[in-house]
Amino acid sequence: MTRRLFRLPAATRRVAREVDDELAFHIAARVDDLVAGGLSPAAARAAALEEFGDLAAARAELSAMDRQRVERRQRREWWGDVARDVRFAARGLRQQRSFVASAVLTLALGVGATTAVFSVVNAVLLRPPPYPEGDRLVTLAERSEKGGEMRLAAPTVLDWRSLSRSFEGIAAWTAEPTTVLGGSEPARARVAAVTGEFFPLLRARPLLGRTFTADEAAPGGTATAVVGETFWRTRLGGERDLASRRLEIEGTRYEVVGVMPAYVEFPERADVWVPLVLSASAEARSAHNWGAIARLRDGVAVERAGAELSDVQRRLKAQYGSEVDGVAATVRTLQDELVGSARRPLLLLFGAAGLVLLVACTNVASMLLARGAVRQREIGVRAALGAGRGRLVRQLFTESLLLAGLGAAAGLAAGTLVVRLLARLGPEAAGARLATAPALDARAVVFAVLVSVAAALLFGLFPAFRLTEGEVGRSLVTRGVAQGARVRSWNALVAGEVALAVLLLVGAGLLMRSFARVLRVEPGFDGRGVLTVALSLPQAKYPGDTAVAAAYAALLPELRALPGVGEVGVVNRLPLTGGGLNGGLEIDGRGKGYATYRAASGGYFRALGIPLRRGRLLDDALDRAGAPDAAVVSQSFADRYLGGEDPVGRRIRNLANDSFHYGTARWLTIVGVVGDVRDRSVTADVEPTVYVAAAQRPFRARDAVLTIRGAGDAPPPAAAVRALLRERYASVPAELATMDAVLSGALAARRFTMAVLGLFAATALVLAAVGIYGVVSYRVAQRTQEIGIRIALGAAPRQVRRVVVRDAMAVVGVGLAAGAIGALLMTRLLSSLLYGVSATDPATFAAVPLLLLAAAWAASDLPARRATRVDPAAALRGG
Amino acid sequence: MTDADLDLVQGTLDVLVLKALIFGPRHGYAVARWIRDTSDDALSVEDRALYVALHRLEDRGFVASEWGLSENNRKAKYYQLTTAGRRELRARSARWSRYAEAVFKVLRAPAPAS
Repeated sequence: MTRRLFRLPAATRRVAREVDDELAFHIAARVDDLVAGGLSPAAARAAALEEFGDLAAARAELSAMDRQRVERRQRREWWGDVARDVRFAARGLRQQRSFVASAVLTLALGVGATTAVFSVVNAVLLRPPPYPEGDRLVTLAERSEKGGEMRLAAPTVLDWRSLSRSFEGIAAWTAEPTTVLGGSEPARARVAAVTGEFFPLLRARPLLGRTFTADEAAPGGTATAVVGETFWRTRLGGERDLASRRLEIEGTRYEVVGVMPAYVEFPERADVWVPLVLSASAEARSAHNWGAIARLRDGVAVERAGAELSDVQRRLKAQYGSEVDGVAATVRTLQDELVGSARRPLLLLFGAAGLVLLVACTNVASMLLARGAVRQREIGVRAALGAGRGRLVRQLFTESLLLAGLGAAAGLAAGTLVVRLLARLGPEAAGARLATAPALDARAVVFAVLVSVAAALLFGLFPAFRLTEGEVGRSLVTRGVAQGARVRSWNALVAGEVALAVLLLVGAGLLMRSFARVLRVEPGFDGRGVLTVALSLPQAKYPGDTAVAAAYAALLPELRALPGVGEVGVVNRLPLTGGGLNGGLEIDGRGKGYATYRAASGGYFRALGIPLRRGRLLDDALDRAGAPDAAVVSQSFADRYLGGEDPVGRRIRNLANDSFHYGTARWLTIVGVVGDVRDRSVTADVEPTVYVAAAQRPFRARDAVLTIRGAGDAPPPAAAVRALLRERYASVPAELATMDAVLSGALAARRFTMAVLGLFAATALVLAAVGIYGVVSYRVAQRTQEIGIRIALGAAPRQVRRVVVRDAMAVVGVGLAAGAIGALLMTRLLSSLLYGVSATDPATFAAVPLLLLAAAWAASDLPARRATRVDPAAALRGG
Repeated sequence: MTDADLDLVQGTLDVLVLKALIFGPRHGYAVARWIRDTSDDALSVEDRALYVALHRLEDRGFVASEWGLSENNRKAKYYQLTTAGRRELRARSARWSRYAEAVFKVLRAPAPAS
């Protein structure tokens, strides 16, 4: 029947011939009649043609009509064939429930994994930031001589605006978690101060109200605020009448003029935006206080903008000399900025999911091949009845497509679940953007469908061609046609599957080993069981330095006195939570240095178990306001800047912005040395750190974190802490958490990648084992006769088992070797995600093949045992 | 204008062709001859139009075709009514008769008594 498909030209030729014949007959019959009526044949013929009229036109018209009819019929038949194929395939699949279930499940794993990871990749990497023409938004930074990126100094912002030509505008911002009063209750909210260019540049339209007017964004303007949708709903009760709302932030009262939709969360997931006025004259060119966002002019590429801005910065450097410490500029798309370090792990996981899908396809292909072998007779019968090879291939392929369709449906369902799970478990970057996106959008669904069709091609076509090759009809006479070829293709499938599993397992193994190393890293403090309370003292209630210092002087002892509390301290920023302060400083007699900078109380070190190495800790009684300024430095600070000398008694000054606050840079005397703390991340190098007394730098401790350790080994009494704060400090918003959560948050991204890759690798391992089991089982069933003969000739069960397992292991060995070579080439891609483990870690490369070998052995031994139970008599008789 | 040149009203040709086939399979030439003879040469069907009609009716499934040998032993394409074709013929001739009667009635109406 398929042959008709390839006969289209022939069919149209036949149509034309038949029309000619029909018309020729008409003329001939007419001539006969006319001759019978007495005309000469020649005259009769002329008369007949004359009567008929335009013969050529008639011929053309009739041919066209018939051709259309034939084509229409062929199309109808073709679709009829398809429908029949589908019905036939569906019937066939219904009869093989267990096969279908295992194939669909296998595919669902592959398609689900791939689709889920694609959704994340799509949401995080592919979708541009949610602002109109968001792909034109860029962030700007100054670059230091060493290549480090810095925020902009205020004069730089203004100079870049006037000197660069690549941007429609440049907006500066800064964001801090701050107390906001005026809502339903005091709140710690992320407040961003942004220059007037900010909202026009984002092109974000307010949900309600308006953004800042030019007056409001200028010096002396009315204090107005725009709030985010979430803040508006949770803190302002979603009230549509904004006119009456006032917010109090840092002692200033702001009119609420607008509400931004939830997708606007730049910068740093801000809740509230207030106008920022930059004053270039008041700030140094080395005070890198301001973040910057800009919109590229039409037609300007990011790279060109970066080059141009670097040029501008070099001119500024030449003009101002040592006043300027930024030597170049970095322009990066907002997209890249938001994605940040999530890109590489995500792409890695995407690749891994693809490998899982390949393993799944391989498995289904070998299942189909095995099933096809069983159906050899059926195929033979159909071939004998006249089905062409194309027809048979199409029939088999239809089955594969149907399977893939079922697999895709199941995979999409599984994928949706996995995406929800990933959104919950995922690191901030992925989690935040996933949370605002539908779990599976149209793009992801299209992706899943494409992947499934590709999968069907992969696992369906190969067996279809294999099964129908050669003299199919002969299978009626001799069983086991193309036996050898089929075994070979099976072996290739199994080896391929094993190789892919090796790749995934090695990758997962390396990440797990890294994670174990990371967990063993000593962060320099002991946060177990420590309660943290993030708070900010509202300006209204605690207006100046004295008030803040007095608040802590009262609060810390009160908390310390609670039953069950062992130690209480305060610090402006916890380690491993990002941000924090750093900057240049001057060491008396030693020149300049650079350090991370923290304001803390003595209890902070004791609560977090940061060891004292020399001198004394900061002391709440000794180092109070008015007493000589004290500082404690970290071991690495002492080693780097005061190597070999006793640091205690040395003086340092000019810590970041000290002079900005006090007008002068006050000298601090080092009173002690403490152990190093991992601050930026668990795996980053430690940085020299200076601790100053919170009581002596209260302006640094307005937003701070309390660290509370329980008495003995008992956990601190969180409920009592909360009650005390609520009762005595009702205007102070406080967020309780545990240091364990902080630590685990710092490892979240790493754990996420490891867990997902581990899951994929485990899936591949199981699939490979199942695949090997299936193939070996089938081989055993096929060799029943041979095994029967061996047993009849006296082979011991052990020998039979050995033969079967040995055959399987030979194939697995090839796969292991291929996989190991592939892994050696590919793990290099992983190296940036590894910690303390080389990309060719011998332990991993030894363990993975052993694990796979064990799994393969178990998978082939089960059917091998069955082989030993073959009844030789029965095997020889029937088979 | 002679009677032989009577134009066929639109759609009439189909019903004539169907009628011509009611007595059994016929080739195109026989259909043409039958129509002319039966109408006493009053209706002359243009040959090309006849064949277009036959092929159209085949396309719609009212007639089926088959190659056979003519009375003079020539290869000829024979047309035959299908079941659908019979039904179509019944419906159309009924409609045609009603139409023709109505036209006659009007044409033969006596002059109104004024």
